[in-house]
Amino acid sequence: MAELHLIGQIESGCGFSERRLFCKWGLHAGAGWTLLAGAGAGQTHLDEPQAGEAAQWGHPLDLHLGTRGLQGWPRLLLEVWHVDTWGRRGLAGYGVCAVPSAPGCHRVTVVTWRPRGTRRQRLLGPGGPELRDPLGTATAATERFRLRTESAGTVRLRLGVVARHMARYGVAL
Amino acid sequence: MTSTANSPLSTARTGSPRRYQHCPHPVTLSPPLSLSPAPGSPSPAHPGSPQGLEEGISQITSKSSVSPTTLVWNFPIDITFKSTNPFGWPQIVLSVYGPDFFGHDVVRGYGAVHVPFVPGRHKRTIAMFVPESTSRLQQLTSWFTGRRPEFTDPRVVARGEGREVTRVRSQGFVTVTFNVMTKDLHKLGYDVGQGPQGLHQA
Repeated sequence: MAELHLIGQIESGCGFSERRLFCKWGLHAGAGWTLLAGAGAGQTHLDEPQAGEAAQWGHPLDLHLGTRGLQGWPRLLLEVWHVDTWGRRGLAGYGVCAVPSAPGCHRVTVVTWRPRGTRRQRLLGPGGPELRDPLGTATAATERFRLRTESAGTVRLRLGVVARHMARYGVAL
Repeated sequence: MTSTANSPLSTARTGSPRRYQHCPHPVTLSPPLSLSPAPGSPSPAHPGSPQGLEEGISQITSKSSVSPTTLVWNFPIDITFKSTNPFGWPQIVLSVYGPDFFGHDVVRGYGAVHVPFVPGRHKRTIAMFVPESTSRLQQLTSWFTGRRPEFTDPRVVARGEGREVTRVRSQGFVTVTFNVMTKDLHKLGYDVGQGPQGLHQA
């Protein structure tokens, strides 16, 4: 079984219209992939930045994956949420990105988007619509055409990829 | 500043030191800084033998007219780790302290970053944050008493679990320079790539 290590950090989120932000993340891969060690999903702390506009999360990632095939290469689904001063939370953006397929250290910038509500929902102010099934909608390409979305901020990640025994199976990374 | 390197078998590290913090507040910081490897990280090679210190405290520094925005620690680190599995790769955990108005040492920031695993020289800028009280009453009492919330074990910042209950304020950055060497990674079948890659847009 070929192995893949993902070692890195969800660094920060910037360009969102809100300031107090946290990020939920999850790693999703095809059926041939197994999570051998580490957490496959999690949530960062809530940051209220005092310096600059970017929410700093510095959230460590350390995953060990095993695979029998390349189909379903792992992807990260990121959900950025904001929390107002009353503790109410609302969606700030969804983003999905593939784990870089080259070994080494990568700086990844994930652009995000969020569903655009109806005119009435927009008039009622913050707290826009969320996806009922973010995983199915955001990571699958089949249902996207039903959505109307607007662009949101970006999330920066630092992802280190270590591959093991890929060459033994003839896989060039 | 730091260095550490590590690899599944053993790595040697040498450090060339230069770290500073800069902070957006008008106060002067004089932070001693302590560092410790993350929980679950591979143990230093040959525990017990002098393969580098795992923890340390820097001098207390302050800003100057030459460098009005940065605090220079220039703190050297030299450490070697060994392991057979990259899972639990070591992280460096930084906690910065400085005196408040009354001269008490209060925490000014926590931060952590993974030691790079690609051989070579790497620079990392770590965003530092302090935890916040979650209740308004605690916020009020901490304002009166001058006691800010702190982590009892700063190494929690190197763990991803349980973060959803934490509220923080980020303030300032610390820069760390790593020089990393690895040994026998390839022999164990690992491919870590070469050098830092460019920016990937996803």
